[in-house]
Amino acid sequence: MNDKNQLSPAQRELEQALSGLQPMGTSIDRDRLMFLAGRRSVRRGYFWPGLTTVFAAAFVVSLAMQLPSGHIQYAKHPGLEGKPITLTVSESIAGDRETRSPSSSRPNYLDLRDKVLARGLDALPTINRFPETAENSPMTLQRLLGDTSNQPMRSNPWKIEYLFRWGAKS
Amino acid sequence: MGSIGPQKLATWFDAYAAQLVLYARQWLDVGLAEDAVQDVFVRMAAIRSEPANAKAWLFRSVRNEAISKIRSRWRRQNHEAKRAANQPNWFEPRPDELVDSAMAQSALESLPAEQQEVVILRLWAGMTFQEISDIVGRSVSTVADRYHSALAAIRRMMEKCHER
Repeated sequence: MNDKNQLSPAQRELEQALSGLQPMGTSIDRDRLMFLAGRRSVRRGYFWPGLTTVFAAAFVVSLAMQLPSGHIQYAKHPGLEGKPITLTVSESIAGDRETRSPSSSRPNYLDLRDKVLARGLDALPTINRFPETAENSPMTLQRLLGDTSNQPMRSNPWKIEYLFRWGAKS
Repeated sequence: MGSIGPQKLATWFDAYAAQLVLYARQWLDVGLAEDAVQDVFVRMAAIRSEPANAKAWLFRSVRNEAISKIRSRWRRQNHEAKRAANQPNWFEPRPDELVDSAMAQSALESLPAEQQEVVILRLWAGMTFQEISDIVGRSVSTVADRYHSALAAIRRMMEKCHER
C-alpha cells in the first residue's frame, strides 16, 4: 500500500506543515541514563547466582545433618521418688562411659550411697588395713610407749613430755 | 546480532528520545513520559540481541510502558490533576513554523486516542503504515483510515480557529 496515494493536496500540505513542528526537548539526563543502562547490562540474569545459592544451602544442610545430635535423657533415682534427675549427655559420651565402667560396680556403689544417705557415715564399711596380729596391729600411743598389756593407757606425765619434745625436734 | 553497545544506545537516544516522549505524552504527563522513555532505554541495554528494527522496538516498548504506568496514574489522579496545569507544551514554538504549535497541540489532544497515536507515529516518528500497524496491532488499512480521518479532523479544527 502506497502511503501517499490516498492523500489530497490539502492533506499533504497539512501533513508537511505539521511534521515541521519540533517535539519539545526532553530533560532526561543522557549521562545518567547511560550509567543506568551500563549497570543494568551486567545484571542480565539470576540463573547462576541462584544456582550457586541453592548448592551452598544444600551443602550447609548436608553438613548439619552429619553432626551428632545430642538429646536429653530423663532418669529417676530409686531413692528419690518424684524428683527427676536430668542428665544431658550425647550418645557418644554415654557410649564411652558404658564401655569404661563395668556395669556390675554401679549397683554396689548406688546401694552404698543409699545406705550412707539413710544411716550416715556409720554405714560405711570398715577398712581393715592391718591384720589382727600382734605385730601388725595398728600403731597406737600405747604400743609406741612399749605398753603391750592392752590395758587402757593411764596418763603418764613424763612420757607425755618426752613424746612432745621428740615430736617438736623431728 | 550481538548485545547493544553504549554508542548505539546513545545514537538512538539522540535520534528518538524527543519523539518517544511526545508519543508517551498521549497517555502520561511529561514527567512520567520521560520516566517511561528512560526505563525503556535502560531495559534495551540489557537485552541479549539487537532488535531487527530498533526504532519500532523503542516505540512499541514505550507504548507498553506508558500503558502500564497509566494504571498507576489513575490511582493518583488527584495529584496528577494538580500537576497538569504546569505541563510544558508538546512542541517547541518557532518563528518559522507553518502552523501554530499550540493550535496543533490543541487539535491533536482533541482527537480520539487511536487517531492521535497514529498521527504522532506517522508525522514525528516518520513511520510507515506497516510499521505503525505492527506497533498498534491493527491492520494497515485500519491504520491508514485512522490517519486520514485524523488529518481531516485537524484541518477542520484549524479552519475553525482561523475563522474566529
